[in-house]
Amino acid sequence: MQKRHPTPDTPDEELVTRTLSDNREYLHIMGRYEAKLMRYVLRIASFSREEAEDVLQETFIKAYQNLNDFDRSFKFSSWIYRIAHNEAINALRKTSRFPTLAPTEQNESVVEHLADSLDLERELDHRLHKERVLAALEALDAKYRNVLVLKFLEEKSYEEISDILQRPVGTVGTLVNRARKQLKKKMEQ
Amino acid sequence: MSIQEKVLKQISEQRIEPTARAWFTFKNISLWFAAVVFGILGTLAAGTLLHVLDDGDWDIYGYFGRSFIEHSLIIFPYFWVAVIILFVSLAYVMTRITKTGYRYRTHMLVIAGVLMVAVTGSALYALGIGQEIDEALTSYSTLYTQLPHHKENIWSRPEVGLLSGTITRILNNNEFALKDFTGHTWTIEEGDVEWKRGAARKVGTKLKLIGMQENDTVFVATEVRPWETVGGK
Repeated sequence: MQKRHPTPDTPDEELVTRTLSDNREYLHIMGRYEAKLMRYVLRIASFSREEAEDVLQETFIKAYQNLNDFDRSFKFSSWIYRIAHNEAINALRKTSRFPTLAPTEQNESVVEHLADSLDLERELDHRLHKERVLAALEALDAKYRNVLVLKFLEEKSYEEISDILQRPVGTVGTLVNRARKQLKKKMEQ
Repeated sequence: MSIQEKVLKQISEQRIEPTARAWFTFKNISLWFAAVVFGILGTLAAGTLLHVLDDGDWDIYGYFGRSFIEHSLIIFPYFWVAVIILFVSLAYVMTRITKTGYRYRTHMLVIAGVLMVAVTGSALYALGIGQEIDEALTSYSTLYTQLPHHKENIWSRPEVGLLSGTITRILNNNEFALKDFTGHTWTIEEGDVEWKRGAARKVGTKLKLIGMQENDTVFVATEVRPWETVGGK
């Protein structure tokens, strides 16, 4: 009996099962997550395109090797995001660089989301306002910036962020609140 | 070449395969097992600490020319506190690196660890297991008996009036022979001596003596205490 070709609605868990039987099926998982993970990796560190591709390649290799470690009580997206996060941090450590926010078009929408959530008075010119938010975001500690990126751009829930960053849910909530306060403070400086 | 093609090529060329599920299951079970084992060792150490604290002779500081606080700080069983901290820390680390360990907040794990050690340690002390561990280490480890808190150490100072050992012979109504922990035999003279509860005047009994050294072989006792504190077991 021929296997049905996966559709966009095929659950991730089924794609994992298919990959474990036939590694060519891994293309479907990579196809589903390549763009998202590339965007995420570029967002949490100012990698060049080539560097980001290397990180992504390592991520997919590692994910493939550890497919049997994927616990179906977790979300697959959180699991693979975690691997991408760790690979990005490892890559930064190797080059002794600090994670900074890359000024991409996508990051500008982070700024929009954040500006709205901070409930700031819009007295300034809108563009100047966005620039200030972006500058403040870049000045934040990586741990605060990462949670803001995951919450406001990747639109992850607290539980998903907990699984990605491997921190308790309560801690994630605290980090998000502190991150927003820190951001507001930096903007007022 | 796209990233996807590169990945599939690398998987094929390097013959990369998913690690077997059994390995991950074994790893996770091992980590939880290690966490439990270290937790148990921590509670055993806590039970032993309680026994050592209860069994300690905190009132003899005067014989060393020390204040109570000074003496307590010197003979406090830091060794057992360090052992508890070590095992509980290892249990914490093992728990943290399990698959779901990150979900627990640090202060919750710390509180759980402290409660486990306090409650279970107290139970083990009450059952006498702390005493058995202390005695076993005393029998098998000369290093352990040299620790400052160890009573063999504290009670082997005849020059300051503290002696301990085992009764080897009853000589008469007022004297008995005692072999101390260095193997030296003493004649113990009982003058106006107080025998504390639990101290038995018979061959084979281990005792702690307070008194005065007369010479190299004679010790005049004024107080005789049992080697083990009565109670706890």
